[in-house]
Amino acid sequence: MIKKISGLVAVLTFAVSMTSNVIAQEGSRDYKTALEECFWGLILTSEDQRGLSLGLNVVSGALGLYAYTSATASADTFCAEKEAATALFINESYPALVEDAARGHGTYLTAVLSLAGCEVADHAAVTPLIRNDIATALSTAGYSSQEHFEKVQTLFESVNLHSASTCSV
Amino acid sequence: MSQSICTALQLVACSSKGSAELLGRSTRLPLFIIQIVVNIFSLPLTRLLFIAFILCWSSAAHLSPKILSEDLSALASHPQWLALLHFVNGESDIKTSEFFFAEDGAVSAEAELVATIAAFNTPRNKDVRHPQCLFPARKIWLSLQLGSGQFKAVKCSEWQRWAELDTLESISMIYATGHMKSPVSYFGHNFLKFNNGNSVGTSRLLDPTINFGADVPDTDGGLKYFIKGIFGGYKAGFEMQLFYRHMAKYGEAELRDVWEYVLNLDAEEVELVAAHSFELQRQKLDYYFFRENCAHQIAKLLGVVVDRRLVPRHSLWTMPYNVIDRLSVPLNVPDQIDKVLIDDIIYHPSRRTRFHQTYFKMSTELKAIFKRQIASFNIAGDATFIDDYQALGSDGKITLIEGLLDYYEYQVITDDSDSESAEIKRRLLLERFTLPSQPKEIHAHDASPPHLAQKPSRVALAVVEDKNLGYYTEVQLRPAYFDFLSLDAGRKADAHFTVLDTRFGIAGGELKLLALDFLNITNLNPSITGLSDDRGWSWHFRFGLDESDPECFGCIALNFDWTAGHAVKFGEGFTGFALAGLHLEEKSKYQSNAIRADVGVTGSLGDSARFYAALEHQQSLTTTKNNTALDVDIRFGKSTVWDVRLGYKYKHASRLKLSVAYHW
Repeated sequence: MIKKISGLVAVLTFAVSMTSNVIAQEGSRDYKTALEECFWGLILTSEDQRGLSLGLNVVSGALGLYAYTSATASADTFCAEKEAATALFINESYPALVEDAARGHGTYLTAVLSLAGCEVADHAAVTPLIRNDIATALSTAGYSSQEHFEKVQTLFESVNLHSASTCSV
Repeated sequence: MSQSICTALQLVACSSKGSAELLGRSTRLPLFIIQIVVNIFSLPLTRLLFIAFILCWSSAAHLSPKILSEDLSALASHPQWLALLHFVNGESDIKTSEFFFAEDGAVSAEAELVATIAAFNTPRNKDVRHPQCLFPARKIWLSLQLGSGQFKAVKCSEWQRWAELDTLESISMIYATGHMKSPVSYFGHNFLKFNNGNSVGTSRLLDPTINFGADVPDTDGGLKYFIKGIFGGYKAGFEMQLFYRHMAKYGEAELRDVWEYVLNLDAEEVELVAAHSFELQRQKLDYYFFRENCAHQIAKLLGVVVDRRLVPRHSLWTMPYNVIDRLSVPLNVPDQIDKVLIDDIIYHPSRRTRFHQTYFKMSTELKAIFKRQIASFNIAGDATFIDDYQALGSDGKITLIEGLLDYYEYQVITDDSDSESAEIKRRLLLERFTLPSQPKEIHAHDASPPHLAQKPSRVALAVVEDKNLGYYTEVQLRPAYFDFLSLDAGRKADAHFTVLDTRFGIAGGELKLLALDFLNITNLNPSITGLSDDRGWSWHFRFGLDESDPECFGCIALNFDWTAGHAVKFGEGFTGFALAGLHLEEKSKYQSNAIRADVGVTGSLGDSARFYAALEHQQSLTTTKNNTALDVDIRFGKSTVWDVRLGYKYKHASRLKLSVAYHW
């Protein structure tokens, strides 16, 4: 559990770095604090407010995190961004997701692209790019000895970069 | 949910008033208010209370004559209103005060009805969420009962965004099968899934769910958890999660099959359940493992639209199976004769089951290559592919690789330190990348859904012929759950799990307790495919009272058994097992504490019969005494509610038993 938590912290930290431009534009907002709140709200099973963490609106832009953010911060904090939902999904579904990537099809692959904001019409274009990244990662020396969060981070980076460049996000 | 000062003060001012008092007071309020203003308006607190009182009065004044003429008592006792308040025996299960507008709303459905109507007509305040937006299900239901014109029009953007009603298609009751590794999961689990039209392409992985569970501190373990779970001490609540998180837990980590029952509800009913789920977030309830558990509370949530009992009324326990069972029975109400509550049943097999499905769909030749490839991996340790594999066409390679991926992921799940399996899986993934892209083949399954299982509670009447004791009558009462002879549907195969299994004997006008198993579990884990790594340890645990002297009617003593070993599949669905361990007992005519070894076999004899046979040997730890017992039982019939069993047992003397049982 601790390994998973530390892994997701790393992934979410990476997510913050990816959205640094957005952070800069939004000025004084304490993004790191919002990230921590978001992380603990999503991960901790015994946390009192866990029941607030996900709403029904998970497929569209708000990604189901609105209810949580509405209780802790404004709705446009990091927790309402798609990166958190994407990171969580990859963290918890990594084996099935990589298998889908290897076969080039599958519900987990479709789901992660949807979370990343990629329309179904764009999936065919973005899927080969992600497959290529994962095949490269699997071929890398030391892949088997990597920590879980390192593997998750690689896939997270691939999904977000290619979705941003190829899909109509 | 946070209440506004305004609303909170209204509660103070209004909540303890009955409906007649509240409504009748509306015409006398102005004079009363003037008196208050003259005498005590200068005090800050009472000034606030005064404002609240004004609002309270004005709210009551907004009640239309139509409502005033309604029989509020009748409306307050409406089953749906009581379901929305989670009332049981005149009291709400919800323990959070924010769930009620009336001060005595937790014990008075009528007071809460009046207070809710009043709160729904309070003016909008842009800084706080309006009561209508906090309780959308109450708003929907009251609008249906009283007419939508009774309430101010309030836009609830948070609720609308949360629910995405435009794409919300249906609701499913989910049943995760029992998990024999954790006592809290033996009985399975229920939760609801909201089926969003946008998530069809993702196999519903992103559908939201509502789940009920206890808030158990990480520091609570073992005995403390056991005691508080059974006798109370934990709070519990509802939580929203996406479906994929449940699949990661049940289908992957715990290797439990998941069944989805898509419910036949109309759009208004779906909206009401979603709205009530929204209301239940952040509410706290008491948790009891046997009764007020996940099945009980999820059934009550669904009870706002399903006009039937989904859990037993007078039972001391609620099982997830009960809910599935009750949902499967057609409605029998005047305007909905035989309405079926279940639209569809969807099976979500676990990783292990998926591996078995893929393996058994392979040709004999492919299975042989599969086994040789695994053997090669195990010996070579470098994950190279054998020549037989290299000679296959791409379809054969894909089928084989898919099976191997499931197999090695299953190995990693059962032992996360298995770095060799992880490395082999990496090689398999790379190999899969080189083959043509295509979706994984979904195999048809022949698994029986859990509502077709034999009902878990059993009462049996038996005639027994005992070589020592003669004839007597035996009565068995077993609250839960299943044994080796039960129908195979929606439960762990090759397993026995009973709680408080009690047998009484009646002979010569005497009623005697013959045996009481507090807990009796046998979990056989044979290799389904015949592959050596497709199996786990088999084990047996029993704690209870059993006969101590076979020549004495009703002489019993405390017993404890623990054994472990292995099981194998053979023939047409037979399972053999060999277990060894300890037998401890309080006292016995023939022996005391002993080493115990069991060998046995169980399986089906056609569609309508199933058998269990075991040979048990005990060698005393303190004397030279030893015992050997033979136990053979056959079940006839395939009904979910009855069966006939014939049993023979030899332990110092022979005993023949014929029983007929009713299950409920």
